[in-house]
Amino acid sequence: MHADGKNIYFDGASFARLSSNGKLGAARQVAGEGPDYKGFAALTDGHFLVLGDQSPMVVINLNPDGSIAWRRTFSSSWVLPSATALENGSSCIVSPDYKRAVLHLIWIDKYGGVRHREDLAGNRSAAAGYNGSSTLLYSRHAAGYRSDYFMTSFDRKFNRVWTVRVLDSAFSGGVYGFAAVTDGYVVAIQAEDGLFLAKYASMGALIWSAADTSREHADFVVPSGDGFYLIGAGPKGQFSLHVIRAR
Amino acid sequence: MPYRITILAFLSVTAPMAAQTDSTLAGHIIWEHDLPHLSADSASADHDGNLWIVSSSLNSHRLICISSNGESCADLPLTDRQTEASG
Repeated sequence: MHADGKNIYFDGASFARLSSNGKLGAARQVAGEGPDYKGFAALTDGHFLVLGDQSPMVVINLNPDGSIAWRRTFSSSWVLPSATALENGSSCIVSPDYKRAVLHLIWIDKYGGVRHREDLAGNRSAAAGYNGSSTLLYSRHAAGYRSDYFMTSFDRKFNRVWTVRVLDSAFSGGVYGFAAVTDGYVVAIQAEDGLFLAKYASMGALIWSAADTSREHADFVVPSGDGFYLIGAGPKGQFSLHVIRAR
Repeated sequence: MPYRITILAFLSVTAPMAAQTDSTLAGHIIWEHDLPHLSADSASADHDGNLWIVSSSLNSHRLICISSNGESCADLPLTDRQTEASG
């Protein structure tokens, strides 16, 4: 990324493999200047998805060695894509529409073909997968610059199986994180009075929830077994790298 | 008997509410660490439960590994060749 006055330019994306002994291989350029490549997902067939945000939205499928298997572009109004891996190298991608309160969901096979597509009313979203299902955390704007958060899940046949209300009246624009763990889902949302954290079972039943007014938000929720890591959820006003292991 | 029915009705109403407020975050934290002068650009966990973080400071990038029990397992400087394009 580089800046020229008030303009910010994204210089592309590179790929490097990290071996199990911690050795990082050479980087390989997979995309040039253009979108902000912030999304990344490991697929079930050993490939990887690289997601570029807007102008236009780009999805790149990488072979295990980092060479490009295929590349697809979508509408420039599709932004902030989030992907989850499904069986046989397929994936589900959710992307909010920049121009209207719609979330675009697409299910892509390993060859880049769109197997199914749906639109859902919402403003922001993140995807996570669990045992072949595709689950979203998403928000809808409410009155007074507030947002309500929901989770909804689709089965392998793209049927919408369940929807649960997660949190009411968080302020719009707050940071959120979402991850699938081995026994369900974890959500972390920047609520009005602090960090809201909850764990749900695979069919959407609430297992536990907690609020912590001493913390503001989590930058990342990283799944690990039946537990998870929270990155950046330190005490309010603290800007160092903070790591929490929780379950 | 009416008294018993009243108690059951009360429990059925309050049980979902109790589930909403049944815990504190502290009760779910196994450990937490603070690493000064670093930030996280991205993070992922491997199959062994180790957490890998790409961290940037003003002039350098680092790859940090923290094991599931909270111990450091790697702290590697990333060169320009590894953080930028090299074809």
